[in-house]
Amino acid sequence: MKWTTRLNAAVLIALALICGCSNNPYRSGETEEQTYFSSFSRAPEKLDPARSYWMHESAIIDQVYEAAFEYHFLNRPYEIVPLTTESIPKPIYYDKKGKLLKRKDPAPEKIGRVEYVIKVKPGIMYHDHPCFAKDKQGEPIYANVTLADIKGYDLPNDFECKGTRELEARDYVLQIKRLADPSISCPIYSTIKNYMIGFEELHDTYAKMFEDERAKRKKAAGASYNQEKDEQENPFIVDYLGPEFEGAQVLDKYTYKISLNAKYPQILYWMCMHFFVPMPIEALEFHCQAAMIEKHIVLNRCPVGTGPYVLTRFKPNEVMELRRNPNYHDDFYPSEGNPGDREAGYLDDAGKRLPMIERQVYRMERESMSRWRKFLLGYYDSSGVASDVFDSAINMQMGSEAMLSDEMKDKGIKLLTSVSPDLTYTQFNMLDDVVGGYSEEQCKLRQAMSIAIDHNEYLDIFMNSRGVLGQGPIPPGLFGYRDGKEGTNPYISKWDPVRERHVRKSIEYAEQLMVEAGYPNGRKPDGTPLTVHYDHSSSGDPGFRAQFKWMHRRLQLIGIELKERGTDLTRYRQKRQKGNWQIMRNGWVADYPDPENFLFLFYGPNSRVKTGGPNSTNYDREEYNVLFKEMESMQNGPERQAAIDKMMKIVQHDAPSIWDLHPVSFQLFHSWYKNNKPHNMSSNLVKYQRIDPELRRQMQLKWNKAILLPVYLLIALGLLAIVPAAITIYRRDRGL
Amino acid sequence: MKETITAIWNNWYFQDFLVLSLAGTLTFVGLKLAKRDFWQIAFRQIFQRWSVRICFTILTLYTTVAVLDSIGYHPYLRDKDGDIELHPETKQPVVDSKGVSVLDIVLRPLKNNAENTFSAPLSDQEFAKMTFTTEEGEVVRDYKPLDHPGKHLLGTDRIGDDVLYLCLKGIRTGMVIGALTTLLVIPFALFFGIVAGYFGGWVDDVVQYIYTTLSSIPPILLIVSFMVLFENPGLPQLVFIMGITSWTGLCRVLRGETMKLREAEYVQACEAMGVSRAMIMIRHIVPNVMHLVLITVVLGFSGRVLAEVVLSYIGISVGAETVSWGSMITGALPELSRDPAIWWQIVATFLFMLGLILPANLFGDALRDALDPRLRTR
Repeated sequence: MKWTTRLNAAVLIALALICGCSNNPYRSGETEEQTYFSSFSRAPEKLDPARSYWMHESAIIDQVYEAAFEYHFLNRPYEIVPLTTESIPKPIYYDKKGKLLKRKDPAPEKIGRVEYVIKVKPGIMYHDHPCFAKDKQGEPIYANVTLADIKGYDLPNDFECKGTRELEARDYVLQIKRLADPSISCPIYSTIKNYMIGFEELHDTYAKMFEDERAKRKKAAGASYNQEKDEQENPFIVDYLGPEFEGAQVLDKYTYKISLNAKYPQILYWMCMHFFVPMPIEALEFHCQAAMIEKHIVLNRCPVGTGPYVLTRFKPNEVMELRRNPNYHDDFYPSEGNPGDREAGYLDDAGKRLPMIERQVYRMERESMSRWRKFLLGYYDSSGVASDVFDSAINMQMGSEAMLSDEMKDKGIKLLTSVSPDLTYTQFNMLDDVVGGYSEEQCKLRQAMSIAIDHNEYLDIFMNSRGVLGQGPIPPGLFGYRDGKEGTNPYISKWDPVRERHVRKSIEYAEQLMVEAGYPNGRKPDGTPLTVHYDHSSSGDPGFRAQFKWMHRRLQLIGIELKERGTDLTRYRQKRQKGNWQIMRNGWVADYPDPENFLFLFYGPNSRVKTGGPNSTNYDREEYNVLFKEMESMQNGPERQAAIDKMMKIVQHDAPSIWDLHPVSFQLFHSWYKNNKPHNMSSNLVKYQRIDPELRRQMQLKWNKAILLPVYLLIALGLLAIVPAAITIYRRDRGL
Repeated sequence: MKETITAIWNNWYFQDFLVLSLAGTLTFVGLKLAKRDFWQIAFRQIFQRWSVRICFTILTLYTTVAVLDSIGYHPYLRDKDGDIELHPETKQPVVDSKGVSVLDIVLRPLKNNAENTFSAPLSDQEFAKMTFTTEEGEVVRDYKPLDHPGKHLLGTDRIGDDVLYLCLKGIRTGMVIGALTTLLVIPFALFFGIVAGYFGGWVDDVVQYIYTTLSSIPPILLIVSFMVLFENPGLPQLVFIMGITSWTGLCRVLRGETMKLREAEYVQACEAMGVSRAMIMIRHIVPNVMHLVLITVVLGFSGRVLAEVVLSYIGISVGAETVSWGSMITGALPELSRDPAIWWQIVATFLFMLGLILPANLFGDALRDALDPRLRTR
């Protein structure tokens, strides 16, 4: 009797557990709020807006910090609109002698100085942050804290006392000065220094201040000085306010001025990025205390800004959480958009106060499959389409748009595709004796290789045809890109009217080019096959081997033998720095929607080897450089288009790299997730979006009905297995 | 330095020489041993078992494939029509520095059957839908028919290579890693083990110190740091480093056995008669530890083949130009989570590895039963 009662109890408990359980990964009730659920696959490392240059990091940074301007949410082509400012500033031109130029659009060579005066809106407040907390005397509460004072705190949001302050023009200027700080090594420093007056000098001044301070400390401490340890314990902030800086100046509390040495309209695009956000001096002082650094409460982990969201949980390998900033300034959903936006429902929320989503939760998902399943069950609100599941999710019909499979459609999932303003390109080292050079023969060799490596096949094999074959450096959607037949690269492509896409010229033509290049049949003059090296740092990448073998096979069609040269990332970078390589493959993501951002990848003075710039092919062609300088400062228009067309012809002929492709991004959204027009420039989109939690809850319940039968069967089997044991025990008890 | 290593390694005539001398040495040793009663009895005993006979046959098959893939020659370069190309000036034929192995020639039909991308075993169409132009000139999105339908016994991989062909080519890599590493291990282990065991004292201390230190460092760590030294590490480097990290186990066993043999009566007798120590070691101790060497070698062989898979997974592999099972498995893993899954790559590789490792292990066990006297009496 004793045994059976216990057994019954166990079964009852098990049943109770099963019925009470669900597969919901969140706390109960969590999904019923205005909360956005998403995932991330790579841990952000730097959240300091002057340091980070990664997409997955700006996804957080741009929601907490706010630059002066932003891109319009609905309008295409992309349009800059004020965010924390009154208006978009107009450039004020001065000639070389400092005289104001009256003409609206003077010739670039006349200009000696360009100024932008930016007026910040009054009344914008930072989110509540302990660095602004002041005691009765007006002194900061958290100055000179010790480790004991901040025990148990992980993020600034956890601190007991918090305060806020109004946004002022000096905060923007401070951040611009930080970009010149050598200890920060800002990724865009090398670009900005070419334009901003006094930027390079400021950098040198800071570098000198560092050296002096180091020398002083070393002298004071004597021979046993441990620089690393000392700087950890007694960090020194550069006195940003000290040195004079002409490039960015505060005019009054709400106004500041940017001065450039040449006409450079792209500066406004740069100022939409998180490099040009306001940085309160209080935050620097707060985070640069030794105890804070010890506890890793530093700017790289703790953003502070005026943006719509506050980072409230940051476990970069597990979960991140953002909450609405209660101090957020007046910001409303746009009431105008492109034609068709109203029909698509993008204007349903017009005029509503932003942000609408209260909370965002991002969870780490390393495996694409598990992320995908959770999306299908409704536990993530949006998802990309991994190529593993592409066929089961998407129906691609010829001549029509990509469509969702029936299963997805039944769930009300929405698919949005857009060509990303990215360029994937296979670079040739122009300094190399074999694949580089500017003679007609050398250009023909590169053209022949470009034809042989047919990226249409690459797209089919590796990317489910999700991409557009590249014809030149400029991706679709940017000014200067020519679509269709007239955009064809005449040296390597032709237009296929049936499939409406570019195709490579024939291998026979490539063979002919090889003959003209002096490598008939791919043979060098001494009769041996031409061997070229593919330099890479992805030996450990499982997908790399197939890609390499594919390239190898394609080049073999014209008799070229491709060999790999794999190294670790550090040595790979060294090779690039020294120009000691032949072929590499890389990608470039648009910083801003202007063709200059792509054409400067081939501008001679930007050469990686010579100046450390972004031109890693080291391409340097005089005509191109001249045209680039002209095109750079032009307004978009037929004149600029003509200059770009000329430049395109030059790079297409010289072929300093193979224009591989521009990827097409596929994004899936659940029906309860509103206002998600694809936007490839901004990372600050969640504030426009809205969740219908009730619909989400219903769908989640509908899609996650537990199938309990197998569980019962399993229990029944387990019980059956007990029977023989029970019989044995019964017999033994009876002494049988 | 690195270029020369690769150049020598890639020279087929050097490899032919290596393979032939290896085969010669093995035959010589085999014939020598076959004269001895102990080995004759042992081999007769193990070959009585049918399982051993099967294992031996399978191993011979693998070895044959590996040997065929290790001997080759450098033919003259030919153009697309198959005519020999001549040097533009000297009008002499040009030698192909890449060369071909005998196996390459045998498998040429398989290699040339490449498709565009994935296709299931024995299928006549591609695995995923693709946009293409049909023979009628119509553009459709459908499963594209293969160029060689039904010819791929084990399917094709992402870039359309026949998986059977890849698996067969992987045999050599696996065997080279298993066998060559072993060959590197034996001299080290034999020398240090016997010297330490026989002389004892400070010699023993030094050897012990070396191998305990070496074996206390995780081998993966050593291998990783060693491979970083090279610009473009490949198979020879991998074999070398795996060799010098794995001699300690055998060394330890040999040291112990030698310590035991040192006290044996016949060794004592030799010493009493004034035979030199070197002679004693060579004539009396080495032959009497050979069975241990054989057992450890055969059992260790499979471990090394498996180690290559793990190393491939953490990104240390034989280079993208060499086919290896480890890199095939690593490359096939992400395809498993596809929907529907691409299973044939991993299954084929698994079967081929199993086919080598299981017989090697069974054979090794049988050898141990036969050769280790303590187990023989059982």
